[in-house]
Amino acid sequence: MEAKRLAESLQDAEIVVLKALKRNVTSSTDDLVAKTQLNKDAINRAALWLQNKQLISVNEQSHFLVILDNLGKKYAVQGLPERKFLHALDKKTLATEDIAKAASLDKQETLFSLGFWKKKGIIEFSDGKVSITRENTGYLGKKTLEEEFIHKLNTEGEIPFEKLANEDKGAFEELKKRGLVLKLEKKLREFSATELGLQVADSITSESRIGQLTPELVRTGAWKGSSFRRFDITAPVPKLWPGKKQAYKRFLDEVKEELVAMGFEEMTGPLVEMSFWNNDALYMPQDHPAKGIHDIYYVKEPKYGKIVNANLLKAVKAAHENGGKSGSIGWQYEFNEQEAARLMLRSQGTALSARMMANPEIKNPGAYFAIAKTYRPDVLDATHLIEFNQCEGIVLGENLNFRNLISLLSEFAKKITGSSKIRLRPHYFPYTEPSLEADIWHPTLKRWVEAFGAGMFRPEVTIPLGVKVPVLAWGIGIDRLFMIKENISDIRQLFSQDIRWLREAKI
Amino acid sequence: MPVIDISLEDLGKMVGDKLPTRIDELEPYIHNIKGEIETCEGDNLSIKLGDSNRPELWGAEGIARELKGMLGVERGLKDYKATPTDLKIFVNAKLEKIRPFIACAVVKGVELNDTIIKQLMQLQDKIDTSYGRNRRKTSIGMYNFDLVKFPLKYALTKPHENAFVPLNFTEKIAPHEILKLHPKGQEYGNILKGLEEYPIFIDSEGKVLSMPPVINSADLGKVDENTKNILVEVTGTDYGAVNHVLTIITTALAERGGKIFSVTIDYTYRKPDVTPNFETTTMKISTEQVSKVLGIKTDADEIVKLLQRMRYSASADKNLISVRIPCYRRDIMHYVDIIEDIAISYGYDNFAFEPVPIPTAGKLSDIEKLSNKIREVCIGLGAQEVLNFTLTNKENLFSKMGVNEENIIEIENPVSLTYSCMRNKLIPSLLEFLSQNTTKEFPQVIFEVGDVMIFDSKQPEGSKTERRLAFAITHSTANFTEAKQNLDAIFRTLGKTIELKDAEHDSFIVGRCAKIAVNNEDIGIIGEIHPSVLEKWGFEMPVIAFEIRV
Repeated sequence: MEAKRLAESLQDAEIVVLKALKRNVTSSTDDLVAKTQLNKDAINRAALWLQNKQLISVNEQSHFLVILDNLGKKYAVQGLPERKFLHALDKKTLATEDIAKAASLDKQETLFSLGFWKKKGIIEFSDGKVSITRENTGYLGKKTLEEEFIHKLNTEGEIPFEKLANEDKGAFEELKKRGLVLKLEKKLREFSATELGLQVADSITSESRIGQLTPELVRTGAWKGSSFRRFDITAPVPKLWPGKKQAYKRFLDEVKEELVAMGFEEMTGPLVEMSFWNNDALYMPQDHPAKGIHDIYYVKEPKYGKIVNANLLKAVKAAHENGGKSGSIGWQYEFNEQEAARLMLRSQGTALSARMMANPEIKNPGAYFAIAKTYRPDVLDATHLIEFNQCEGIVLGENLNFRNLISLLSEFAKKITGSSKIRLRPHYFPYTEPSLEADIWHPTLKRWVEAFGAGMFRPEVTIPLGVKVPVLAWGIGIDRLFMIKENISDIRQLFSQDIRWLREAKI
Repeated sequence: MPVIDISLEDLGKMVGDKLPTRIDELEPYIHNIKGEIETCEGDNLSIKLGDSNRPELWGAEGIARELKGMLGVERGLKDYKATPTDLKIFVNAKLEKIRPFIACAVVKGVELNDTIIKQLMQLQDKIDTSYGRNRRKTSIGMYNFDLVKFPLKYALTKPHENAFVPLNFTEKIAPHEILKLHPKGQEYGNILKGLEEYPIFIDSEGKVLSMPPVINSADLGKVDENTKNILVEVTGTDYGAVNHVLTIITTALAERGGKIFSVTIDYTYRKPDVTPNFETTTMKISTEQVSKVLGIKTDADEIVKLLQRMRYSASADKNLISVRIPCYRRDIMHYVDIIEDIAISYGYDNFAFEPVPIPTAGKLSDIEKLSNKIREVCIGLGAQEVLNFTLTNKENLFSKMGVNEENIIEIENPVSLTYSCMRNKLIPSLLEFLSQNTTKEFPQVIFEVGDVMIFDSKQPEGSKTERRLAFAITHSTANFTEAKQNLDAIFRTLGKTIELKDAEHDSFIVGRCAKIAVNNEDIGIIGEIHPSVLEKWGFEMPVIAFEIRV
């Protein structure tokens, strides 16, 4: 069975190679080239796949071959320079430059030949001229060992080094020195089929098989009657990375979806904000400690904006100074209008709720939310971001009360963690009264997690902005909840610039 | 928000046997004064107090007073009395323009020990820092009453006159030297900056008590275990706050058994004052108001009881309740402040949930809906969404992009130069992102839909927040054609026709850069990033990008 499955998964080249290997016979690459008509590369590739499947075994050995180098090839045809040199001296006595001319040798070849014959005592000098010594004229017709070897190499193309005859070895060394021959390492691979390979080869059916299913095959119906080559489904494949949402943005999208489903409408507003919306409309006294340079990023230029609605400014000013029409005694100080126009980077998302409440188109009853980008001066580290998101909103309506507020928080808790168990703690916010913070009982972490800040907007906030009904205000510590959900300990991860982390993030 | 340390033993002495001994039993009461227990080690309890308008809780005495109410040890409002005296302080007329207000009292009969002194110093320090806005608004001084000769003068001194020995020094030095040499002088000297004369507090023999709001004298202004009778003084720029702070300090000492004596302040620029002022105010509240805010039906008698637990005095006349507010509380500005205390007294955990009727249909803002459509297409094109800071720096926006500086929104008080302005383009953010990933797998295709700030003097805020999309691709064969394919796909999917116009931009290669227009309005730019820019960011691969206004 295994043999059959393996047979079905073989590629065409593998089949050809495997079938070419017979029992008890080892074949070289050359043998296989001859038998299969495939080129060497294709055979080597197929062999590697077959070897990985343990269908063949490969025996690799190094062999050394002697071949002619380029210059050697040239001399094999033209004759060695020393031979041409000697021929030029046949029955002649010549000056070296005349020999060179006669034999068409360059200077180097001439000098070499001179030394070559001189060393053997075949030639002699007399009056600056060269001639063959009388007793050695026979050398004209006698081949040197080097010439014999070059001739042999030229005829055979290559000679295995270990098959060199003893007399050839000396010639090889000499010619190697002269750069006319090379000793080449050649890997010889020998293939033989394994027992499994032979079984698989027997299981290969003769019917035609389909590799890539082509439109052609489909259109013509030519696939009918053929089998399909089996793919190795366990083989690793190159990785693909899908396009996807940034992990933290995905989480924020989910939160928005929940809020919209609950009936909340989204609020928007500028990132550069006037103190008026960021603080004053929220009844934060102008000398409030949270307005210092350690809590708010101030804009360098322009420093001041324009508060367009003069009546609104007047009403907020009155609320600060003496309560205005809110029924409050106010903060009892002199409100500075210039200071109210000071520009800053929004430091709390509640600025958007203030803008919404002042919007004449606000719905009553109504429910609004924002995931607002806010800024705080700090040194960026594992627990501090300088820009982060605040998720918050309001619900307004004639008969809303504190019980509605805590009920709302418990509903949020349920959406976020699946547990509606919350713990309420009285808390202080400048713009809400009563105010509270709430922790969620986290069912998987089995501990309280600080999650909400909430309250009912003070009349000093709502009345000057023109809202006459109770307003429930809530905020969710969204960054923290995401970190808990994703088990992130370094808050900078939310803005990670590591593409690997983003690619690998699960959805 | 101040964090204070108190001794559990000391608290127990003041509250009595009903004080829970287990921390988990004590914790809910701490929550009810808007406190969070930070640590509890041995006898020391560290509490973070959340209400910046209730400085009377920043010491063991004020906390004990609240706990006694909630635990039923003492109920209702405690009336504090100050015994009149003929002690007098004369105020120099010129102080009206400098540091106009002073309030003063004498406290006798408190047997000071180490614990009490620590609490007093802590209360003084926390109030000076937070409520007193680093002593600018109010600052407290305490002296050994028995060493001081009345009448006193709250006056002005030339900077080189009236030398005295400041606390923790041994030599007399002149006021202007104190500002230079004394640590407190260095810390608070800026409050006196530019003044020709400094406030000084001296007695009838010319001995210096202190130089408000900077430093006390080491002779008279030192309170220790040997001090029998304490003179408390508060100066400042806010009349209400100055008197409130004196009330807090003296009533805290009264909780320790101290007897309070009043002092007359003789102003030339306003009518004389007798301080401290322990007068209470009364506010009326109806049961309807309570039930409307809290959603509970409670009768007037029960509300009275709830209020008494919170140290108010209250009496009911049918549905109307008269509430007397303790003199140390200045946070009660509206009846909702009283209602919150009723709610705390009732117990936040005792409120039953009542689901909120939200009759409206929720929806995302238009800009968010459009952003989401664009994000969907980008993701469909195989791009990874990224999220970068909107805060950045000029180097990234300009020099690394090979362009000239433009008007942008800069921060006046940046913490680090790396984050010192708002981005006005998204592409630099994407290049910064990609430059962090040059050793990761290619191709890299990313996009961001996010906000930039555009300088615009026509807007009320001097700038406008603009939503943008930027898209960038980097791999060995990335080119303009690929960028345009993606851009084209996005707009085709959104059903909009775009037009590309030749553009020259220093961040891009000439001839491979174009302005993007819809209905003849330029909305963005596309191109191959210029190799000189790639070099600055450390890229070896080509990068193509486009950015459009959403």
